[in-house]
Amino acid sequence: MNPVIVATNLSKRYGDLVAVNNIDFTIYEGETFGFLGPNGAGKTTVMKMIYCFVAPSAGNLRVFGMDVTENPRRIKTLLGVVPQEDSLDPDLTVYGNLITYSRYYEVPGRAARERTMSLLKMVSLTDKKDVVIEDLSGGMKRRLLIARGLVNEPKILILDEPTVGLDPQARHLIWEKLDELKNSGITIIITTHYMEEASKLCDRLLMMDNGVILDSGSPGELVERHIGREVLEIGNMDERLQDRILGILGDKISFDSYGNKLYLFTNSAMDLATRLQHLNLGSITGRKADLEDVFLTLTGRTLKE
Amino acid sequence: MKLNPYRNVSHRAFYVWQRHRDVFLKTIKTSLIPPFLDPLFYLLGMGYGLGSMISPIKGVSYVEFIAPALLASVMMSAPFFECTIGTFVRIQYQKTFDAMISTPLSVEDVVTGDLLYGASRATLQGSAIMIVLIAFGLVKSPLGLLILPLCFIIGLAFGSLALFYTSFIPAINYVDYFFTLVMTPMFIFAGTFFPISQLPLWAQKVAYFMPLYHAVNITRGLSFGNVGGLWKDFAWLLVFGLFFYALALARMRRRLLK
Repeated sequence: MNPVIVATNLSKRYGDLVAVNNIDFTIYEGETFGFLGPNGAGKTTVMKMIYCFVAPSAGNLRVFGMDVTENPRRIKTLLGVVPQEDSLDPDLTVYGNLITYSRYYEVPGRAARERTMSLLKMVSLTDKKDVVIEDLSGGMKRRLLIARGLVNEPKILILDEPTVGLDPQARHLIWEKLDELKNSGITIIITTHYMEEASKLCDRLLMMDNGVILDSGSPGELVERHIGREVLEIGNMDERLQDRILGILGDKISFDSYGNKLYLFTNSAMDLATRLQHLNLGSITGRKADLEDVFLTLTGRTLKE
Repeated sequence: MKLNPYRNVSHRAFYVWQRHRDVFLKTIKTSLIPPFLDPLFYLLGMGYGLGSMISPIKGVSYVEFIAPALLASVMMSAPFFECTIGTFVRIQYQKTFDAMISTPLSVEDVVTGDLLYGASRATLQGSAIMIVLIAFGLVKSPLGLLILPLCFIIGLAFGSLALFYTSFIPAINYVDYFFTLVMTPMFIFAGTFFPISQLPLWAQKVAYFMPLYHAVNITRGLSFGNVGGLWKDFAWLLVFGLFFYALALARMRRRLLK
């Protein structure tokens, strides 16, 4: 596999604030790569460095072998960027937005018109062609932003929180479109704090917090490594009960506790439940382990603000 | 080379200009009328009304005196509006600026596109005034037609100053200071409605540093066919424009790329 983005000792500081702290990562051609982390983790800053909007303070970042500080224009020609906030041009129609952006990428007139129509079809906005941006719903705007990110047939599509603030229907539609794109072979980079999104879409992901990388790997690997296969959740917990349970299960059990809940990480929730049966616990649930467990274990369960 | 502020300007600025043109064309029916009415009111009210009480200035009637100044003043006001309010709204509120510079456009391309558009508006409004002035027989020499291409070039100089100011301001209401402290004094004192020789000596010196003073010299000279020495005013505006264009580019890069 060809590496398309390589970061080495990459840092970004804003005055005293260290947004990205000496990180390394490699993204390969054709994969869907996710950056996961709570708000303020540094994900968006990494994205902005990739699309040459923010210059690294230290370290090296290469896109297709080109340094982001030396070749921004050539790099940007190969990227499609779908930013977090609505940055559609409010003075133009849906169609006008795509045509105008095609011009910025120097797509020739006829190709631009044809591609605009096929992109509108792809994101199901053909009948909104002549509508002004103001009259689109949040989901439609997000779909149009994705279409706009594709006008130059990019080699890499960068999506920053592509479904934040959308209702479930709109979110599923976006996932469907991204899945289609993924199958077309394009490299996709997304940032998200929705674990469902990350595990659905990403081949590999990287968890970040406070500007550093906590771990990276495929969603399955990460769950396996940090949690195991299943989770047993026990409610109505207090300190005495928790000590008693942990006493019964021995030192080797890994767990996490938050509020009045105890989370036990295991390969078989059923086995654990059987061993605790004699305690007659009222609230006890076994379920499959998922990325959310990894995320909360690695980044902590306290509120991030 | 890194210090050359013009280094990131490319032909792509034209695509930004095209974007502004497209937006303008959508509202062309409503935006074409005012440029004709504005100068008409000034001519009728100040030129013929007020002018009827004023004796000729160096053998030129008052309306003939102010007519070329009206032309020069749109070379200033049109780019001033586009490159302050227009540019600031795109930078600060619409986020379109950020989206544009994540395409192959550089900050400098986008800023230059705004500048080219400001100068185009100056030319368009200048043409409207020219039509009115010709209709009233106020352009005395065929050389006056040279004013139209100059509208564009001089518009670039004024637009550069406006962009430089815009690159500093944190909020839109700061634009008011620019209009009150930069545009209005020039509009009144730069030899537009009376010759600067009427001003005290120190104020005449100040007026010399107003770009509008030089623009008025040029439009007045050309519409009367007196071209002697106009190249000096033109050269002054050119240097002024290139200087503020460089500053605006450097400032905008620092402002937008963190």
